Amino acid sequence: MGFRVDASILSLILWSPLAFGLLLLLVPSEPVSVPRRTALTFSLVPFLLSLEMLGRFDSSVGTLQLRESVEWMPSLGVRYSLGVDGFSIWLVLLTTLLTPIVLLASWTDIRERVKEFMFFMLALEWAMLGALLAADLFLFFLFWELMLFPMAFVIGIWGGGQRYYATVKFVLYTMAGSALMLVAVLYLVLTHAQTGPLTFDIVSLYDTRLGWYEQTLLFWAFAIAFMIKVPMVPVHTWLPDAHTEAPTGGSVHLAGVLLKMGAYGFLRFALPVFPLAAQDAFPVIVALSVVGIVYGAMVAFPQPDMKRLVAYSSVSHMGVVMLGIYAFNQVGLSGGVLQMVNHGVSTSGLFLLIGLMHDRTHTRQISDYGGIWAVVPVWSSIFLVVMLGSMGLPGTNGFVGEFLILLGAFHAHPWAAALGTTGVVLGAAYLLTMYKHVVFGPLRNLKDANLPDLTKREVAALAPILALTFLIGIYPRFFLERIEPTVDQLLSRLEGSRVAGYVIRQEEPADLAAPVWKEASR
Amino acid sequence: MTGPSFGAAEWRAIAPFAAVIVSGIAVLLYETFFGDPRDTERPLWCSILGIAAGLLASLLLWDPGSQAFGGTLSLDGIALFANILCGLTAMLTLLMAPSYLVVIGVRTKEFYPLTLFTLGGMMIMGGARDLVVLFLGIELMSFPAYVLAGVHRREPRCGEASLKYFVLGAFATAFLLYGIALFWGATGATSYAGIKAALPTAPGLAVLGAVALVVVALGFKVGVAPFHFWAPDVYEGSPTVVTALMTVGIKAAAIIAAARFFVLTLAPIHVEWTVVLWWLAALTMTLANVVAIAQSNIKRMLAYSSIAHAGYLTAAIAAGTPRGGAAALFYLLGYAFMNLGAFAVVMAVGAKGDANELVSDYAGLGMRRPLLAGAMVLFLLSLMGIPPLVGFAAKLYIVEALVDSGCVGLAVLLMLNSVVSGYYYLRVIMEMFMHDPVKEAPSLAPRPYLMICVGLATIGTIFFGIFPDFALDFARRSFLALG
Repeated sequence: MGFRVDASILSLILWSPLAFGLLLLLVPSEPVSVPRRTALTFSLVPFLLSLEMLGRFDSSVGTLQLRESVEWMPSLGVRYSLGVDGFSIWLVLLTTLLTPIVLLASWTDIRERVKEFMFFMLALEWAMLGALLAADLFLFFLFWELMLFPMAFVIGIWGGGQRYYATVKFVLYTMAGSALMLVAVLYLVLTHAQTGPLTFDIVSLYDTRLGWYEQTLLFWAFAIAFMIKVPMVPVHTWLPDAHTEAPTGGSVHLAGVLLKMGAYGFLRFALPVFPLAAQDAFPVIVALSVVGIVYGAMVAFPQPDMKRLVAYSSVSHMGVVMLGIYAFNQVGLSGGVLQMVNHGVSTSGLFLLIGLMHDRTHTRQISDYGGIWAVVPVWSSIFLVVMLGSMGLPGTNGFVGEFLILLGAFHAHPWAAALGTTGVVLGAAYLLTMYKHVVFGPLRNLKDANLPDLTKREVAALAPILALTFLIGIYPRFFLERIEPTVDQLLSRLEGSRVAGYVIRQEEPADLAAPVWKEASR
Repeated sequence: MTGPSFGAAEWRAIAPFAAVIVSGIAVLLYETFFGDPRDTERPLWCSILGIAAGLLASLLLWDPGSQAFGGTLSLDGIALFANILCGLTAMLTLLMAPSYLVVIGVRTKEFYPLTLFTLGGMMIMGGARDLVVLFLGIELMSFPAYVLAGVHRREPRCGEASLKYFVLGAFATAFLLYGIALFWGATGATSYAGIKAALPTAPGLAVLGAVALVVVALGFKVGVAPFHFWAPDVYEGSPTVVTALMTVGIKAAAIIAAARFFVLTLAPIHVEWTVVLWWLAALTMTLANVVAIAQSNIKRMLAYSSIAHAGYLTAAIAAGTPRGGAAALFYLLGYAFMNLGAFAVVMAVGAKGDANELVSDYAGLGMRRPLLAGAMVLFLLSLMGIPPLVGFAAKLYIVEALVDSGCVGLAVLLMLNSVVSGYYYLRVIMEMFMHDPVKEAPSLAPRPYLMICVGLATIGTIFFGIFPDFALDFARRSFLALG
């Protein structure tokens, strides 16, 4: 990098999208190429800054790095503090990389209110970065809630026919989850304040003394919010609707980063803060993960709409990620973290490609296509590569992640791993079937005969995704060595709690264990 | 109790009130005899000047240990908070009034002095430390409000609102008087200090009866279920500018009075009354939020929303701790900005008669008036409780107070309720941005004062959302200083 930003690199990464987004609102909206080009240029800045962050990241340290901390609300103990570690670094990079890609790919998709769309995309990037970089629970919650609204506007304004329904469902599902989480956050902080300082600092909160009952209830209050975002069966139903109705750019961000927030929440909060309850919850989480893998794959199979099919495949793939996290060993956890990135890369790519095809034909129905290889060879071959990455073919990114996850899971719970593997097989089946129907065979729709292939701009947008598909697949060490120290740290915390767990279980049940409605008759 | 004296302490405590009331009388008399009937600028600015004088006096003269009139009135931290809050509310209301009143065809200038008198009543309620003084304050606040509700005389809905408000308000006042009488009988005192001192030895049943009667009376003023039935009709029927004043100012005065009386005075028997308030809060917020979903008129929707917020405020008091009282005060501050802002937008969109009062009339507003619609989005998101707006910080403090005092269940219920409320707030947002206009919208006349109000409310909504600390800290210290 030619320049060095010595002060606060994380703050710069976090605030530049919002600052540029606001600046963008001052740019004239006609002709549309002006806001498009400006936004694209702007969106490269956070990406370059995050490359600088990657350069400064110390891969031998597992704790939060590049910390910044400023007092914000002293009466609540809230600080503006940021940090990055092995769990978040690749997701931060993915976020800043996907934004320019999305803007580039939305060139033809979004024709109305272009400037506003670009603004919401940058605002969304800002909110997601905030949730990833926050080292303060309050700050995290703030961005967690904030993330919803740019996405809701993107779906609601630029979405498809059922967009109102999809928007309301998306917002209310997520709000319902975070409602419980907020109460749990405050309970946790106030409990911590009884023996220590009043603080929302995540690392300090790891040491909160909680009884077993308290841990269990608080864990589930957090876990439900995260499970909705992952999404895990049975709280996944908002996802297919949101994906189907969202414009391409919205889908890409939704699949790329927003869905990772759930799994990220588990890694950052639910597991380390409530280690005992989190481990005790494994039968439920593992079972739901496996159900998600198999169910997602089975439901994806007969979907007539390509986008909906990929949306259900996300349910399946995120189940795999959760299975890896819940293996509670280094291999599985590292694989889970890596697979979050992989899924972000591959699924974003699939949504992009489907979106680009939709721009040309205005249909996403698989039955409307057939035999388009000869017409659009570039589209078809890129689709093939990204799809193989999503399926986990050796040499591509998906293989590394899934292999590590299944290896780790097989050590921990062989039966769940065995069932999870069927999901991987099914994944190959539905994706290949779709591909066969769309690309091979005789040309089914004569209108497709003159279909234009991908333009240079579109290929440029897809190039980073192709590059990452192979880079992660061939040289995963570069990625894993930055993830592993943080994974080790989480594991030692979980290990420690198992030793201490015996003692905690013997303690008196906390007041919280009494049915909560009884408080009315105190 | 010391004899009636009127020394420096008395003057200091009563100065803000006097400034407001005197300017009210002056405006009333001058406009009646010499005023030009078409000139709305002079009464407007004279009234605002009067309020500003009152606020300045409050800021200069307040004192944490203030006591006047034998300890029945004070200008302590809570009173200062009340004065500033209600004063700002009245100022913004006045600023919104002229252009709106012209549109609906009301030319009476009594509006300005009546608002000042109502504000005087609110100030008394904020500083009252005696049930009789509280009663005086409530009456002084309510009577001008009854008239204000009916200020649009030719509109039948408006007359109905006024009459309904008056009859039920008088009824509620009777409850308060019975409550005061019972307190007198049980404790031999009407002053807060006297009641608090006598509580341990007072006959339990009489005290409980007295508490119940006071709860009913204040619950009526705040609009807490099941004493809320007047509220939707009155809020919908009154001119929007009066609705804004009622939903924010009157609610604030009653909640602050309740917070002072319950949290500080009745602290020794908090176990009993927190149960009652727990159930009232739970009932109010759940009922109001569910019913609000079904509304198609935006004023009526905001009316139910304001009942729901009354439920959140009651929950804060139900925590029964100074922390809860402070959370209620801060919530009122945030609520003032976001709710006044929302009503200002409703006024800006509204036209003569009932025009543009339906949620569907907002279709496409985001395209026609992007800034106005953008401000409305902020207000609605804040009412929903979305960070980093003030509504979130306010809700956070209430939840914190509830969890701190062990009411986790009520905290959960409150948060779930804000999810439900998300549904109807979101509908307006979606209508504005995601629907195309269904009919030709009338061109809206430029209304600079109204836009200033929208701007101020926006600034308040964002500023106190990001920097809530000092306001909350002040409220908390005021409570602790008295507790």
